[in-house]
Formats: sequence, C-alpha cells, structure tokens
Amino acid sequence: MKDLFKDLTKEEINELLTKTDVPLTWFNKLYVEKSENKKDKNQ
Amino acid sequence: MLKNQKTKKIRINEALGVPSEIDMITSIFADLVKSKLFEYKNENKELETNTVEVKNYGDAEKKSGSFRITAEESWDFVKNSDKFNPQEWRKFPLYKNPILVSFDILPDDAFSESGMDMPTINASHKFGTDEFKVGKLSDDTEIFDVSMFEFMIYMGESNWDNVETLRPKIDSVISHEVFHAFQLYTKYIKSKKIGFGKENVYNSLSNLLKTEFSPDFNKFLHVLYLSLRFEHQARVPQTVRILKNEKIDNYNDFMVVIKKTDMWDDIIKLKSFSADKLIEDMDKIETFFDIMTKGPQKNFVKERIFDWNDVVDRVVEMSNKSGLNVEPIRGLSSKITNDPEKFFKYWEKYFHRRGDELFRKLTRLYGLL
Repeated sequence: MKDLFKDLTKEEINELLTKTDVPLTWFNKLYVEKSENKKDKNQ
Repeated sequence: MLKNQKTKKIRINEALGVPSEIDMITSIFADLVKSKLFEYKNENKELETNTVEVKNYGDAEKKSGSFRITAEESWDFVKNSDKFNPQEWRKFPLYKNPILVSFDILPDDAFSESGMDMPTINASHKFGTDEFKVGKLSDDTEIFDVSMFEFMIYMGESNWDNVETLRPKIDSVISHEVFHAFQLYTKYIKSKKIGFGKENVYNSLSNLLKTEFSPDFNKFLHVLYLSLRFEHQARVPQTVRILKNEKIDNYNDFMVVIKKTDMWDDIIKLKSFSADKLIEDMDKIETFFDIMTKGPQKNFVKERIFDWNDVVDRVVEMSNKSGLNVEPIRGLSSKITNDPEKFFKYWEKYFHRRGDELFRKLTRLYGLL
C-alpha cells in the first residue's frame, strides 16, 4: 500500500487531519483562468 | 415574564442544536470580516485583474483580493466591539484566532448564467494539535485559541458596490465555522479529548485521498464528508442564521428559503448519490479533461478501494500520533473492498440514511420560527 503521508511536512499532515469544510472547488467551478494576471486598482 | 420567554426560547434553540454561546462571536466575526472588506475597498487597495472563462457565460473580467486578519487583530476587534459581553464570552472564550479572507469579484450575470449562487462563500476551519488546550490568562480567565478560519468569497460586482449585501451569507458561514470551534471546545471540556471523535477519521481520509486528483472518486469523498454528523450539527446554526433573515409566515415560505441553503444542498447530494451513476460516470470519456483525469483514475480507484481498510488504519495511527483522540474504525469486509460496485453500493445506503437523518433535523427547524 502506498503511504499517502510519506513526503508530507508536519504542517501539511496537521492540515489534512484537522481541516474541515474543504471545498470541492472544481466540482462546481465558476470559471477557468485565461490570461496572465495583471495588477489593477479597484474602482 | 419576558425573561422567562427568552429563556424558554434559548432552551428550545439549544435542544435543536443552536447554542447561544456562539451567537455573540459569530456576529462580531461577521462585523470584522465585513469591516475589513470595507477598509480594503475604501483604501483603494490593489486588486488583481484576470480574464476568466465562465461556464455558460463566456469571457469575464475577474478581480481578486485577499487579506489576513492576525490572531491579535481578531481579538482586539472582538474585545472592543459594542456587542462584546464578558459574561457571555466566558461561556465560550474564543480568544486569538487568525482569519484569512480571499475574494473574487465577477459580473453579476456570470453567476446567474452559470447557475452559481451570488454570493457564494466557501469557508474552512482547522486547528493546531500541538498547543491544543484551554489556556489561562494571568487573572485566571480561561481562553481557547486553537482555531484558524479561512474564507473564499465569490461575489458579484453589485455585492462589491454594496458590501452590506454579503452580510447574511457571511454571517451564516461564520456560524458554521465558529460552531466547529465550539464543538472542539465542549468536547475537550467534557472529556479532555481532542478532535471531532470517530468521524474525524473520515474527514481526514476524505482530505487525504482528495489530494490524489480523481474527479469521480473525489465526488464520492466529498459526499462522505457531507455525511458526517459533526458537519450536520454545524449546518443547524448556519441554516438558522439564514432563516432568521427571511420573512417566513408558513411552511411553504420555509421550504422556499430552505431550498436555497447548503443544508438542503447536502441532503440532495446525500440522497441522490448513486453507485450505478458514479460507476457509469467513471467510464465516460467525453472531453480532453476526461482523457487526462479519467483514464488514470480507473486503476487508482480500484486500488484505493482494495486498500480502504489499511488507509483508514493509517489515518487513525497518524491522527493519534498527531495528538488527536480517535478510536480504531471497524474495517469493511473483503467482499466489499474487493468489488468497487459493492463498495459504492455500501456507501450509497449509508449516505441515503444520513440524508434522511439530516432531513429530519431540517424539518425540526420549522418549530424554531
């Protein structure tokens, strides 16, 4: 069996074990990125 | 008389799983997030602009921003809020907790065309196991500060123009996450145990296996997370916050509002889970994306199901090693783990039962109004 915890840092393991409500973002993803980001000011 | 009525109302709420202890903090945190969004906007802080392609809408300009509220800042805001009541706070002394907020702004029509609610807020809660304890200040006041909160807000341009319109959603989502902190706190106070108990393992397992990208198996893992009772409990205060903001005169009004909540969405996902449909979807290769992801997933899923009991045991072992208190989980029979169809059928029954349970919880909320 592949050890899925292998190569993970302590912080990454803590996050996997304690984080709740991780969204399944791609499941109902609103958009896909198209271009390189550029900086802008709001308003 | 009025005081008695108020006490009675609080007791009914608590019997239904809406603890009054989280109300004050939820409300102050919602003020905090909203005020930081206002600040971001009024200070004309930089937004990243990017072109994105929205499903059923086409190209759209997306603006994004993010900010971090430090643990100190969150506590400063809480203690200085007009809503802060020290007696109330001592019942659930949430202290210094960092909050990370990210947000995307898109045209309003992009939401309606793609069928996504506007605004949509994803939130998550995590906690540190190393320093998990109920601490004490120098004057012996008890404090609890193990939680970290993250919010991702997808909003329309009209929401950004009037940040106040985000309030009901922010409020309800925060109550869900604060409730998780409250669950951890009460469990620790009562039993000195850390974590959400047995079901913490399934949450971790879902997080762990989702990291190996497999679209259909990830859908199954997401429904597994939706079936967890500590999540169902957190949906109650979250839904009540939404209901309280709506005018509900009868059961029909109640159902119209309820159908827009995450709780309803969860019930549908649990009750409509179909092993046959999932297996059928796994075989469907229709797009380039499918070729990239679905080809490799066929063997991968079989392997993960075959190893299911070992992976669960490994999560239990790692959880205990990391300071969580979890018990071993009884393994599934080899008849189930040797056959993906039997495996998904087993979980289908389980999800449908949990969907019924959640529906019963939801119908009881009508009595609260």
